[in-house]
Amino acid sequence: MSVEVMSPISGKILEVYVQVGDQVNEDDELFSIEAMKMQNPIYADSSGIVKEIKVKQDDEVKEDAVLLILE
Amino acid sequence: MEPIPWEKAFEVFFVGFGGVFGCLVILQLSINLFSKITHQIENIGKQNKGKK
Amino acid sequence: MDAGLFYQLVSKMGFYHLTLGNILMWIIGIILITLGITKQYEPLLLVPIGFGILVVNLPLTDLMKEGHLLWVFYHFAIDRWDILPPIIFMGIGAMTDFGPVIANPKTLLLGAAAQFGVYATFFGSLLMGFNIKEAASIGIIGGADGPTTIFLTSQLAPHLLGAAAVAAYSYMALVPIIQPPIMKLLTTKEERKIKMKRLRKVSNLEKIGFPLLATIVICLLVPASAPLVGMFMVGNLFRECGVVERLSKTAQNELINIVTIFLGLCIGATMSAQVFLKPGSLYIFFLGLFAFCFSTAAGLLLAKFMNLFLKDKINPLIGAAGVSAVPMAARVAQVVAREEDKKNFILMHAMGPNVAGTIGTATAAGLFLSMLLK
Repeated sequence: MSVEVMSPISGKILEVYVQVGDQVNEDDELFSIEAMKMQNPIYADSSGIVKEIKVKQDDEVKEDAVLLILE
Repeated sequence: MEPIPWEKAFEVFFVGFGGVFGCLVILQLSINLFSKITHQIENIGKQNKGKK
Repeated sequence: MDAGLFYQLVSKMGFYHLTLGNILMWIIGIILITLGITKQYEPLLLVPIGFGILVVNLPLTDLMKEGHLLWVFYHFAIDRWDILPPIIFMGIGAMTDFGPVIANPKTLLLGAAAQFGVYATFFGSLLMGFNIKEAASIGIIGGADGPTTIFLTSQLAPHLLGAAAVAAYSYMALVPIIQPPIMKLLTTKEERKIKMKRLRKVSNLEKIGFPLLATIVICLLVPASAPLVGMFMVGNLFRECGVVERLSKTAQNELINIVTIFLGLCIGATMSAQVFLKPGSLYIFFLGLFAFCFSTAAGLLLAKFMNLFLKDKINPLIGAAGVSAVPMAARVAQVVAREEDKKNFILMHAMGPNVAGTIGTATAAGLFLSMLLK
């Protein structure tokens, strides 16, 4: 069962905190996105293993863009 | 110190405050209407593309 | 040596004419520059303002005397033609994304709520002895909008320009400190946790049409606000139409920077000791703070009130963003919301009222002008 983690806001990826294959738990911090000169941490909504990371540092993303897929 | 011109002050307040609120309410309604119209235009555009 | 010659020499030096007031103003100017540099309080304005204050309080430089350097900038850019604030607005419009407003137009009303602060302060100022034009200029500080404050004050009460501008920009910088206590006082934890539905996608056509629509509606209703609103919207049109990238970039960068430099210097230059060191200036600072707080509170309360009638509740914190301090107030709303629920992202929702606040304040200024300018 795949779960897509989408971005709640438009902005630039500042940091990627996980790697493919990592086990994440709900509420773990996955990314940091810069929007409106603010640093916004993005958390996991559920637990799982990181199957695919769709973005890298300095990418510009739009609201609802898929950032990561969890298995 | 000159007396406070209450009448003028209230006039400015009512017209001013009412004016801003009224203006923004009208703007809000205009946007609602505008959005509906643009969506219609876009839908027609999509339908035309679909037919072709 | 001839005493007369010596006197002539010395009297041409600034030192001889220095007053205590001048020195006090130096201190104020240097404090503003320091706050700008060390605490990053609105440095783009406070640094040039601070320097302007310093330089105009050096006697005999006469920079503000008719025909001289700063006078020329001031006279043509602010005093006579009042063009600097509208140009800044064009730049801001080019930086602004009206998507959140278009997606949820109800939030425009939250931008109106901030005007409560403006008018409450208007009356407060009257009670403190200011005349009606001065009261309007002080009141507009509650709109939390620098250029609008400058635009209005330079036409209604130019002698208060320095104090009003410094108050406006100082409080804007202090938004992250002033707002949160008020926000927590007037809202419950439950309310602060409200999650709002994702904003719907706004099409490009809507984003291009909006500035045109807004210009037509607002300028027909309040023609006096045209210099500000019109420029705001043309900047936005540059941004959204996608085909004038160069113009949009210039408006947001070089143009607004050039104007900001001159604006800051000119405002500082109006603050000579004689003009600024009056009790009125102190009153303005207190009234300005009152204005800010009142506007914040009004926005929060209106949001709570609207929730009584809405199915999809709004998080009342975004009401506080109805003050025009863009994007600071929106950021503050986000920070406070995340204290209750770290996953709650209301930043974009808060941008709606934030940006609406700018429109609201500009409209209010237009109305003041049309009613008070003879």
